[in-house]
Amino acid sequence: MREYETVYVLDPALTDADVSHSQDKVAELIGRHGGSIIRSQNLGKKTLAYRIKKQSKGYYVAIDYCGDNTTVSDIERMFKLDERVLRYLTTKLSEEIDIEARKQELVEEAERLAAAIAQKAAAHPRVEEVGESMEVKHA
Amino acid sequence: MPRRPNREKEKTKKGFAKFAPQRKRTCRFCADKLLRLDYKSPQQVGLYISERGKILPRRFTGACSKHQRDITLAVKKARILAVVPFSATQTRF
Repeated sequence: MREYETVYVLDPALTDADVSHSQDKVAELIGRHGGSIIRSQNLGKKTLAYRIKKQSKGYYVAIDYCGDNTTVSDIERMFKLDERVLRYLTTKLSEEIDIEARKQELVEEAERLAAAIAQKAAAHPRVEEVGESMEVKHA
Repeated sequence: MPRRPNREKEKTKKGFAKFAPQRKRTCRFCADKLLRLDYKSPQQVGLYISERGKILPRRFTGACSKHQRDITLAVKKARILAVVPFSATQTRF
């Protein structure tokens, strides 16, 4: 089983419910091929760098999953037939994966990110403190 | 009489290089092994393209050759997904 990541852009006229519906559809397709989803995330409505099908915005959805080449070709065929999909891109992340280990890895990555953000937030007031103490020295 | 190449000039040039402040540059992706460029994020990929949308060369990104290849790949993926433009003229709509 290989690990793939598929990112696709959906029509901005859709609702969040439609987006999650399309995510479910992809999940079902992956399940039918004997693969499994590692992570499926709706990245939200973003502005496109250039127009696609006369749209300047789109919903970005990223799905990490494991499967084989038939899974990928089936998903891409579904996107090709679907008018609401503006753009899609599939990349191979690794040849052989251990699903549980990979899920754990992703959780750790998210934790690390959260910790980094918290650290940044904690570092900011300290910068202000330094500024104040310098002012005191001046006076 | 044929002029001899001005060796003095070259010498001074080299001399300058010798005394220029030496800055040790390290690739930020080598420094932080966990750091990975996410091609889905316009903020991250935007750091590695010029105003015209071109991929920046290594002397600007400061990346080693291995990671410069990763950057190039990430920018190209991001272009396909309309995260960053292929060219600056594309954005004017």
